[in-house]
Amino acid sequence: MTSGHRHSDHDDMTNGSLPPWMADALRAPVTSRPEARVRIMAQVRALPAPHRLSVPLVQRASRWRRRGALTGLGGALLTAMLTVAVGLRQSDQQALAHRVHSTAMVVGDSAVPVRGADSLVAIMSGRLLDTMKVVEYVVQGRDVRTVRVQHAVRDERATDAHVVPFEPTQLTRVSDTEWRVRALLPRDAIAVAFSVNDMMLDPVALERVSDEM
Amino acid sequence: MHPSDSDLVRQVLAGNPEAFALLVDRHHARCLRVATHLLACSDDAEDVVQDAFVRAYRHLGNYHDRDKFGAWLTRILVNQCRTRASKNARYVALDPEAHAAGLTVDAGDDAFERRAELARAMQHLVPEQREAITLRFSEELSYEEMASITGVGVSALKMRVQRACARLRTLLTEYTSA
Repeated sequence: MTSGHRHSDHDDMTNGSLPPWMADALRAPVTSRPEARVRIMAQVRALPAPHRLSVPLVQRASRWRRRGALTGLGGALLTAMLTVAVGLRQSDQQALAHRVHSTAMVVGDSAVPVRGADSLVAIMSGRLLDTMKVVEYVVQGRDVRTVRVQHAVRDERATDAHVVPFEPTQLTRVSDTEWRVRALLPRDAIAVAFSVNDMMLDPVALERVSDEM
Repeated sequence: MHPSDSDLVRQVLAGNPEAFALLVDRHHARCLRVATHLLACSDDAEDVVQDAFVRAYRHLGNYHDRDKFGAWLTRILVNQCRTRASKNARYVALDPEAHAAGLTVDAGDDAFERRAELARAMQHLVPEQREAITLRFSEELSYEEMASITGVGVSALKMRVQRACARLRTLLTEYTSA
């Protein structure tokens, strides 16, 4: 190999290329054992036949579900939707309250056997009868599907602490616009709350027949 | 008219394993040359090429027509070479005489001397540079094809080839002055 040949080789290699003799050397075929192909095919024949894999349709979750918690714009949108939903619910409640007229009239008292949570104490102390108010509930209004007295309270502020132990009382439909029922109410209750179309209304105070007179 | 590689693959997948023999005939010599350059050991190269073909056959169902079969096979082969090299630590422990002997087919004295000189120089390249030089100049692949096979970016491959060439220049200069 001459020195001039080597100089041209070096020039070729400075810019990322190889001199021809070197590229030829790299491309030259290599010695191979004749039985190599036979060995490969012998191994191949011993294997199960390959098959085209059909990719199952992947059910990918939506972007919102993949991301887990709602973020950024999604969170803001959800908050806005919830706010609108609560606003609509409140406006529905107000509209219903204006559309419906409900009263709870005490028409008398009745003595009934002591029962409930305090019954054992009452019986031990010699009290066998309890006095309850006989109340007539009346609800009048349009588009009313269901009415019941949901709870009774000892105080008009109607906090949880003032709720009277009481089973909800279902009213009976007497006409297209009127629901009515007469039922017993614990004597310490002073107001009841109606649930109309599964929407709670503000409590109304009990009235006495004499109050009306 | 010879069937294309894709046609042969389809025949194999349709239940004719003998069609794979034609693919072996077409690509065996090229694969063996690549493996010999990368591993510098003809025994290891033969084994790795065999493993690569068997592996390709087993996973032929994963091959897509949009890829060239040769490139797909080379990707398997290069991965097999890397695995074998890391197992045997022979990727760098190159035996230049054995390497040159493996490369020699009907070569005259002058050609043999040159190849031995080249093999000695390649001994001192890092494995990544040797891989890049082999794919670029032995297989005459484009940088995009090399990137697809090696999983390395085009610019990184260009840098590797450039540095490998510079290194070969230095090494050949040293041999000349010696």
